[in-house]
Amino acid sequence: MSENESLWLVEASKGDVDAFARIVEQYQKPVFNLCYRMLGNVEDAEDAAQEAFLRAFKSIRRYDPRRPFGTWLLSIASHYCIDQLRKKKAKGFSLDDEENSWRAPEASSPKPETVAIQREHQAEVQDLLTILNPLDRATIVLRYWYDYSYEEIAKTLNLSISAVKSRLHRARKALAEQWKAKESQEKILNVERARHESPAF
Amino acid sequence: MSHQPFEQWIFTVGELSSAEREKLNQHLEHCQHCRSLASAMADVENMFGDVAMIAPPAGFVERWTSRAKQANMLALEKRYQWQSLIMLVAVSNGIVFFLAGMFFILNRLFSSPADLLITILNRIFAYYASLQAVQLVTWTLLKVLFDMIPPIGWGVLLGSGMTGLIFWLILVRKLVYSPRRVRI
Repeated sequence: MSENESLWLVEASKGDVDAFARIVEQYQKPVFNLCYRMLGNVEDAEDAAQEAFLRAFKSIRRYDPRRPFGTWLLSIASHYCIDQLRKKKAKGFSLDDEENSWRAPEASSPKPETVAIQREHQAEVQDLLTILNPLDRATIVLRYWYDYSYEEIAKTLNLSISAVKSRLHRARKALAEQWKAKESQEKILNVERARHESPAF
Repeated sequence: MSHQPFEQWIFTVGELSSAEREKLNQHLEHCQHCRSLASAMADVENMFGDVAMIAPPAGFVERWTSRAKQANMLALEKRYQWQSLIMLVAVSNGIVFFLAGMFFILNRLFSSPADLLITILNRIFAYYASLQAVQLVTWTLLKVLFDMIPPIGWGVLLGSGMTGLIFWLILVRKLVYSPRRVRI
């Protein structure tokens, strides 16, 4: 963490909203991305990310400076998202709302075909993540998007290292099996389609 | 055909020894089931690697700032409401106790004024006697102390007292005016 960020944190701990807004500016992308991967749509992710930052601001005095600030923030965000998912589970939460689905990142994909491919990949990724329970999903997201070690994941999610290992293993297996099932289904569909198509001239 | 421990190894992240990896590769060469699982896992990992982090919609920080300021205002209003309520309860209780006390005193005064006056006078004399006793004890102690400690001892005592007071003032000033340091 830079010296500036330390100063902003000191100011924020005295209740300065504008100082913490600078922290928000620095960390908005990783926190929002985590919320999006967890919740699956932009609106919920925005709400969750805003709430996570607000909770962090309110409890800034409880922040232990020996711990990396990013890990602490992501811990708040992931716990909030897990709670939201558990609450929504009873209501039949859906990730298939096309209107709220993934938006193309502005700078990294100037070509329309790249955007289309990325959109397709994003949708596939979200479909895959949906099959996991909230805690397994958080474990996978922290591992693959943030490159967290077992120890960091354990600290972020308040789990033991062995629990993280077993959750990662279970989640990876579920993802691979789901992908395999999807591929075989697509193969069957392609064969069916080819059988029903009229022969070429 | 048994797929263990190979199936287990396919989903283990970066913890296989070179011997285990060798065995797994040999198994994958002739096991279609495990090969398809490993390939599916690789596809999933490649896809995860391909999709970028998503940035929030523009104006995220401004929206957060206004939300935080609003939340601060609400918290402040709530605190004022609580303070007003506590004040109201305290003042009401004070008025009730005052009226009850007045009623009790006036009731006794009207039913038997002589008894009340005697009680009040007794209390005043008792307090006066207690104060006199405290004064006597204090003077006696001071006299004994003055006799016990030589003049140089008094100098030392006064000097250390003053030094302690100065240190205390410096400490208070430092704690009040210096910002709290947060090391990151």
